[in-house]
This record gives sequence, structure tokens and C-alpha cells, in this order.
Amino acid sequence: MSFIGWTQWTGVPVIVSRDNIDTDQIYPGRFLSLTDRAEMKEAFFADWRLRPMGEVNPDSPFTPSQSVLVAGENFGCGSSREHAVWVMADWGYRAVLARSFAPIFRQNALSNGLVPIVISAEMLSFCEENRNSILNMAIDLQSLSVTVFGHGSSCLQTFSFELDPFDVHCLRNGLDTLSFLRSHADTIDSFVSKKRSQIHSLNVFNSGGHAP
Amino acid sequence: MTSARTLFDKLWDRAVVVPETDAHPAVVFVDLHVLHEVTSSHAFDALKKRGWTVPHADRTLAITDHAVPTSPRSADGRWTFSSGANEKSVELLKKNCAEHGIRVFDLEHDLQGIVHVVVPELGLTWPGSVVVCGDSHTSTQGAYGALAFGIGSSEVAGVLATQTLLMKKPRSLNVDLKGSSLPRGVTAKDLALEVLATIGVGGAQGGVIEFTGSALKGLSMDERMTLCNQSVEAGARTALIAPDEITLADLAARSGVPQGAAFERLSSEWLNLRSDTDAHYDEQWVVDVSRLTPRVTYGTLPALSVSVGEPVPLRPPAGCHLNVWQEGLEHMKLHGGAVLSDRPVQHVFIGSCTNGRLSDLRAAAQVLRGKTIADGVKLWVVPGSRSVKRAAEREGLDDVFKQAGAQWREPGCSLCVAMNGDFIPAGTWCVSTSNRNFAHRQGPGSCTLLASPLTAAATALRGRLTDPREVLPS
Repeated sequence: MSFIGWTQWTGVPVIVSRDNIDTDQIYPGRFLSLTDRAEMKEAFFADWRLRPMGEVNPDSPFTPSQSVLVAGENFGCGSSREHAVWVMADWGYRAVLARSFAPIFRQNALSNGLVPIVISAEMLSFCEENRNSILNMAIDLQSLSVTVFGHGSSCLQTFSFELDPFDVHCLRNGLDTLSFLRSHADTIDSFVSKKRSQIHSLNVFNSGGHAP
Repeated sequence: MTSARTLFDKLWDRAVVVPETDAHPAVVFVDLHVLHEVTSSHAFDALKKRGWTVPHADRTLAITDHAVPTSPRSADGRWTFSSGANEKSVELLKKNCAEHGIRVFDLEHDLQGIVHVVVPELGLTWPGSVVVCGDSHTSTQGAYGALAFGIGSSEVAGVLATQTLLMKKPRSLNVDLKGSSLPRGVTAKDLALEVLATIGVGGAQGGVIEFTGSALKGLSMDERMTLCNQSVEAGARTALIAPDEITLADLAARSGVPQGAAFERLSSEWLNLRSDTDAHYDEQWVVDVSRLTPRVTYGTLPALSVSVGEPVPLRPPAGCHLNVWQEGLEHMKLHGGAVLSDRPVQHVFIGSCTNGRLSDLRAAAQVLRGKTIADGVKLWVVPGSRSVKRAAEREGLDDVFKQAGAQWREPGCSLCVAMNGDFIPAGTWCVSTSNRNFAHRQGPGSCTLLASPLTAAATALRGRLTDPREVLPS
């Protein structure tokens, strides 16, 4: 969906030392019926921020100032719901640094200006060990690097990451893939007529209401 | 000379419209696009904003399943949604589809049901085709030798607008299923849980798993769908199985395929869709089906499971970090060495795109016939589609369930995604045939144990986790 492109971002990280943070954690299913982005915001890690009866969980790691999330393996596994990315973007997040990403989450993130950055085990350990001295992180999509700052703007660590040039181009220019796909409309048309002309049709179900 | 290719390589090559380059991913054609009410509204908005239409509405089908009530209609024929938002999401889907000329199977349509149950039962999942839906369990349909991808809403917008998907080619993986048939009391669900335990929760990340091996000959299409359905829980992009005589026999009877000579022509084409003998996979695993036992999960990841009757292991399995394992046990209020059958089970759910097909209901009925569920247990049976429901009622399965004390409900995702008002209360245990046991998935504080329809039904009889082999009629 549409987002504003960016090249540099500096934000406060939340370091969640967990693997397999699934999209049900980021955006619980019971909020899926919401269609308004503003209303969706309450769903953000709702079962971490709140206890089952609705009272605030004092152990929640989240504060409103955070905009970079650091986690372990397989971030965003589970449901394909893009709501998980929307709610992160609407809470101000611009980057997730994780050991690895679930593929659908990764694509959803790229479509919304949330950059999925794969980090090494050493970098994750560094973040975990220095969680109390890390003040913020600066992410640069031009140099593909992350700089970790401590108090007094001291640079604690710098590391680089990999991202496909296409993804970088889209993120920096605020582009989703729709326009790129549309630019190939003629090629798609000719593909359909040459190679997929006689594939199945839904016309047999026109009448509706017959049991197979 | 061309090098040996996997089935996935072949399906991918057939579907590529614009090849991948250093500058961009591949543009991949989508033969069939399935929509539901939860992941499509923002996609339609994106089209509206640009003033674009849907050029291939004839390749697009919408079905309501996630937000719909599973409680029966009232006497005056009305459905009661759990919230205005849920009802609105269905109305929005219908409005958007009407604007673009897209067919909708809604609650008034007698082909409605869970997308991944309905599409194959209509015969719309053609071998060799590409099927996408804004739902991760689209992989279910890979059982037919289709390339079936779950996608996000932004991608749904792209498919609506262009009938294509932008994608880098995933890696090719293989799980070889040795042996001939599943032992008594063991189902495809147990096989799926065993596969996940073998691969590990992220072990197939970003790959496409092809299931091969001698055991496939003993697996029906329903069983293959259960297997492919759960494969995404290992991080796979999707899973698939080469079409064979079992696939063709299943398809021949379905309305979505042509009859006669046209079907014969397609059949011979489909039977050619298989991996070359010396094709290379990036990674391979082997599972012997003849040694399987009924399985159940004990943590908050589908890959963490044991044989029913086995205690919770004392240590995490290889590849699972200690903290992941501990967090799961903490959520379930369990510890290493705990005996799962020591704890009462309050809820049993039989349904979902994993195990909501007719064969699943027959299996559960086999256990429940002539018996009554334990006091203190609520058993819900939610058929995967209206067609499944009608077929089950023709066989009298609904009476078996009702006489046992179960609720026989209307089709939908229900307690699998738990967004339609159906939920499991905090702190209670639910033995569930659905696909995910993530913390809070079935409701805040809920605890889910994934198991087969046989194990779920046996558990409902005793009120504690039960090996179905103890109660199955011999």
C-alpha cells in the first residue's frame, strides 16, 4: 500500500529477544474485522501490552517512542495478514532487524515502507547485551548500514546489511509494486492469449447454488 | 541439453511472464485468484485510488469465510454476526466485487465455505496452474500439483490489477515420504505434525516443498491437502505434490473440469507434471510413515509435538532455542516431563481448512458413534463448507455428533482464526484440528493443542488427551 519513501531513519529500538514472533502476536485475529487503519492501532501486540482481562501488562516491552524492532529468527511467521505490517507502520515503525523473516511478512513489509533487515547472530547478541546503553539506531538505505548510538551520541556499533536493489529503489521512492506490474500489461496480455487462453473458467458456476 | 528440473521448476517456468533479472523479481501469472473478506478491502481501495479496473474478473472468485458466524440462522433466516465490523467486512467484499463483476459465494450461496476447502471441491484447482489467495494456507491446494501461494493485501491489489505477482524464485525443497500406508489410528494430520517436527519451525523458510515417495500412493486428496496445508508452518512458501491417478480420479468428478475428450487431453498433460528423476533439491528430508503414531503439540509452535501418551520432553528439540521452548511451556503452564493427559481439556474443535473436509468428519464420527462426550467438555464440529455439511448430513454424521453432545455448526474458519466471535476462554485447553497453536491464537490466554480429528474426538469422550487407538472400534 502507499507509503512515503525514505532513505535515512533514526529511531529508538525495542529489543525483543524472541524467535518466531508470529503475526497473531503483532496483530491478534480478533481485530481482523477492522477496516479502518486508525481503529487498527489498538491491536498492536495487544496480548503483550494487555492482560487477558484488559488491564495493562507492566512487563510489556513497548513504549510509544520506539520505531525499530529487534528480534530473533523467523519474524512474522504465520498468517499472511498485512495488518501486522500496517499496525507496525502506524505505530511509527520503519525497520525490523531480525535473524530471519517469514517470506510473506517480508514482502508485506517492503510494500509498506517497513524495511526488513537481516542481522547476524553476533549483532543480535550485541543488541541484547547492550540493551540498556543503546539509545537509538540510524538506518541508511543508501549505504545499507545501521549505526547503533548510545548515550551522548556515542557510536557503539556500525554494521551493513543486504537488500535487493529493486527493494531499495521502491523503499526510497515510496513505490509499491503495482505500477511496475502495470507497466508490463501488454506482455501479460500476450502471455494470456498465447499460453493461458484455454485454462479453466469460472463460468460453470454462473448459475450459482448448485451442489457439485 | 537441458538440465534436470524439479516439478516446482517446471510450474515456475510455465507461469513466468517476465523473467527475474538483477534489476527486478519475476512477474508470475496467476490463473486463479481467490478473495475473502479480511485481506481484500485495502486492495480494492488501492485500485480505486488509481482508477484501475480488474481485467480478469473471470479468474477471480470471492468467498466469505473468516468473519462469518458459525451459529445457525435464526428462525426468520437471518445470520447474527458477532460484531458490526464483521458484518461490514462481508458487505464491503460484496460491494467491491459487485463493482468489478467478481463472483461471490456469500452466506446466501450454497457453495460457501472455507476458501481452501471450496476451491478444490469445485475442481478449480488445476494441476500446473497458479492459485493465489490472501491467506497463508493457500498451500493446501498444492496437493493438486498447483503452485498455490498465500499473499499479502498489497499483492492482492497487484493480482486484481494485473493478474500477476512479483516474486523472486523460491528454493526447491523435498520431503520424501517412505513406507506404504499410515498405521491404524494415524492420520495425515499426525504425518503433518511429524513433518513439521522433522523440518523445524523455520527449516523450510522461503522454500517450496515437494512431497514425493512411496507413501503418496496411500494418501487421498483430502489427506494430501492436510499435509500441504500445514507445510507453511515450517516456513515454506508453499508445498506441492505431483499429480497422479489419485489426483485425476478426484478431479474427474468435479464441476470445474471439462468432461470427455477435453479431460483426457488435460489428464495426459497433467500426468507429465513431475520432477525429473535426477532433479536437484536445495534441501531434503525423509519421513517414514509406517512408524508414525498419533501426535499432539505441547507448546506454542506447530513444530513442537510428541506422540500422544508421551510426556513433554525435558529439553527442546534440535534447532529450537531454549527460550522459545520455555516460553511455549510457560504459556501452556507445562514443564518438561509433564504428562499431557493429567490435565482436563475443556474444549475440542474439529474443523478448519486443515481438517474440515468430509473424510475428517467421518473419522471423528467413527470415534463418537453411539457414545457421549465427557462432562465439562464442549465439542464443536464445524464443517469446512456447505457441500461438506450437506454430504455429512446425507450420511447422518450430524446425528452422530449431536447425539454425542457436540455442537454441529455452520461452515467457516471459526475457532481457527477466532475472529468471528468464536473463541476459547483464557486459561482453558482446547484440543484443536486447526493449524496453529500460537499463544492467544484462539482467544486471549487460550491454550491450543493441535491434533487429528481422531485424537480430538477421542479426547472429547474422555475429557483428557486420549490416544484414539484406545477408543476406535476394532
